[in-house]
Amino acid sequence: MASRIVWRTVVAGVVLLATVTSASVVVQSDASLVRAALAAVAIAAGSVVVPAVSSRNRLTLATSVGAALPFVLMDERFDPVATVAVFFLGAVLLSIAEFVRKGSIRRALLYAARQFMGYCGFIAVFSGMLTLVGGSVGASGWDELIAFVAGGVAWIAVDIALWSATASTDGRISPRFVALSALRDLNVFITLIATGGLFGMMYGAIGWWALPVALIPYSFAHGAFRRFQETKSTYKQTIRALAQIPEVAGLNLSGHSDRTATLAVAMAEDMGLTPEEVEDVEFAALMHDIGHITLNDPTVAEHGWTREDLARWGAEIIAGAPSLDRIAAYVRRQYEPYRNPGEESDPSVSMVSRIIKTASAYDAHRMGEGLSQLEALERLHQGAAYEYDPEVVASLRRVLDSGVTVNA
Amino acid sequence: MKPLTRRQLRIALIYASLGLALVVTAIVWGDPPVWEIWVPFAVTFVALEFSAVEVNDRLFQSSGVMVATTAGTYFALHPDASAFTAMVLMAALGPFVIEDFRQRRWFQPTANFGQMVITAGISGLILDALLSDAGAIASSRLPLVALAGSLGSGLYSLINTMMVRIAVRSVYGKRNVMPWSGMPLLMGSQVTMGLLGGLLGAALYVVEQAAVAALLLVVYLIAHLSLSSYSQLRKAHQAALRGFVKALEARDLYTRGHTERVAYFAQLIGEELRFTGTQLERLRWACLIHDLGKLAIPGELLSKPQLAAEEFDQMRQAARKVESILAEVDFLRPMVSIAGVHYLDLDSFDPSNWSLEASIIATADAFDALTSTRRYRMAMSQQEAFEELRADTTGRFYPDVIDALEKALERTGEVYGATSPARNEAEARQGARLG
Repeated sequence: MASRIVWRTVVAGVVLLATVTSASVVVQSDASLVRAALAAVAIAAGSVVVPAVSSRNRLTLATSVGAALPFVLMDERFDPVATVAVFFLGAVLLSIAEFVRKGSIRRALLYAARQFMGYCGFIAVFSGMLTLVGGSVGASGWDELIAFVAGGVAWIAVDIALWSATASTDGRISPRFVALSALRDLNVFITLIATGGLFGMMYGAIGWWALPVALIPYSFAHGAFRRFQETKSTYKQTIRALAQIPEVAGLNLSGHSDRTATLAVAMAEDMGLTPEEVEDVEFAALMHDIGHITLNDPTVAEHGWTREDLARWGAEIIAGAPSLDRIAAYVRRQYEPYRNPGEESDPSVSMVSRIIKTASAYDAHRMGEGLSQLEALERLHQGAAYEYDPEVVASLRRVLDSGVTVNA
Repeated sequence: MKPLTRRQLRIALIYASLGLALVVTAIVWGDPPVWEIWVPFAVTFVALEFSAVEVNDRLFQSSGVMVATTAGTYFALHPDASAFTAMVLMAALGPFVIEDFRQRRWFQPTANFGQMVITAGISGLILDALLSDAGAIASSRLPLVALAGSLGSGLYSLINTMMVRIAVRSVYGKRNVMPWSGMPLLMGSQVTMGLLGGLLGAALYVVEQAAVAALLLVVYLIAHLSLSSYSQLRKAHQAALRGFVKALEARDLYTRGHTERVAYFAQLIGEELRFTGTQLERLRWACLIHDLGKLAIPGELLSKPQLAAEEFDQMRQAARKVESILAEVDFLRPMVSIAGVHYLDLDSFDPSNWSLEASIIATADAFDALTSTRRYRMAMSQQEAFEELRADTTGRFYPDVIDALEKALERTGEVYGATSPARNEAEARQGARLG
């Protein structure tokens, strides 16, 4: 308890000291105080007002404000120290805004610190390159653009490194997965930085008209990102709804596909699969029992069926959608055991299929047979190395230990 | 030579030679554009035209127009260049899409070339006329310049649409012009895009730096790329739903193709009633899902000609459950309320809950059911089916909707159902004997 209070005091002291230092740096520089204050407020406001679409909304318009800062803080001049100081003040305001919104002071500080350190990388490389190519700020020429692009690359690199280091400690997600997901947001990141640069480079020539001019292409891109994200979630919703049809028809355990998907995704993230693979796991897990709908047919019930049949029928239905043929292949092979006695395991069976198989079996034991978590896990352990992949079972255990909630 | 080919050749020849004349004029007499600005714009424009995105949103379709207007405004303001030359040369590069060559199409690229060059040339001339004496503009005059830009791009889209219209009408006949009914909407968004494009072009001119143009185009390209991946995803989504519908229909030989036909009839009715693109899209989705409720119905009930009261109840409940799941998907919710109606108890039919869309789907559904052979009944002729629909007293089938379907089928010359009542009876007798 005492050490926590010490920690808090230290952190608060450091932040306070840095704030005072930054403020004095800004006051003593040539920057106009009005512009500096405006910029700091804009950084905080940018993070609240327009959240751009990215994984866990980590990218915001604050990035654009930061990118524009070196050009607009002073006329025809660039002072790296003052610029960083202004951004620091902005980051302090931003952390307050984050705290008010999310309620966790630790997260807010981490968030602001990440933004600030990425920005330091940007300014360091930007000013270094600027001296290297001998360009000056305010001319809006190619030399300026080269330095700006180099700075932007550094910013993105620092941000992704920090993000994968901090975000994965929150839950039990592998850093590889976090880093790869962050890379998928590259287009959003570049757009935000370019928008800021656009505003900054035009500001000298046309003043505040640069704001609408820079925001036109941005809003264009923003709309496209939003639509993409919306369609993606709609797609997922549709698949989830369709996957429930066998359940409402009374042909499968109610809620089975939903619970299997939750578990399987947590396991895939734990095992460090790529974001694309995790997405596949989710889709395949949602639809892994869609073949049960065939049981509605009286002739099928008459002739009998095996688990392989069910998997094949399911895969046939899914393959009706050309874009889901990968998913169909995963579903097709989900019934296969990890390995047969005396044989090596078949490497052509994908990890996705193995994860679904294990997650689905766990849910069937737990909810279908009413076993406790321990008993159900015990069953899987008994089957590990023959029926189930031991690595996957170990991952399931980690996921369950971390307290992933699967709504029953 | 087939008449279609002859008509195509005529239009292609007229358009392409006019376009070629403009290109030659631009090269011989026009002022060459400022190349370091022109090249990035041309590259972006061609890239946008290359990967034309099919999005059901007019605002996004016109991204190419916006880039053209931005460039046009810039060059019109520039004392040593003209919007006419810059835009004509840009447009000349745009229409050669790889896909056309791969499929060995000759008509589309040639006609498009002429059409785009002429359009670009005229709007370039307008921009030149409006902006040439603007000289050194101050940033305070930016809105005025933007206004000129919107005028230019409004004209651009007007001429463009007119030329497409003329081409389609004279080559394929009248019917295919129907999808262009959303013109006013399109014009509105084009004018807005032109306003923005004009503002951008003027700003670029004042700043006068190719580096800024490059930065601007990067954002454009990213936006466009995201947009095309969005459009791909949308297609995948639609394909997935279609796939499930197919899987449903595969279970019953008699209803195979039913959903596709209902969607087609509904589309015909919608076009006849001058629905906009968005409305037609909604209708298509609603048709796709209108029979999904069947998936949950026990197989043996589906093939029975007559259902006992409790069996009917069971069927309706199963369908309702599926509907309630589908309604959890935000964008399907309105479609479910349109489409999930045909399991409705006729006694509890409430006209105040009824909508035009619901009536369209019910009509299309009933029309297809009447004109197809089912396990328990032979198909009717088209005429009998219409009589049957008109005789319905519940009010589910709006007379306008029935008329629209009849008119649309007359126009396309298609006939559904048994060919004549007499033959139908003969077939029915035969069917009875065989059955």
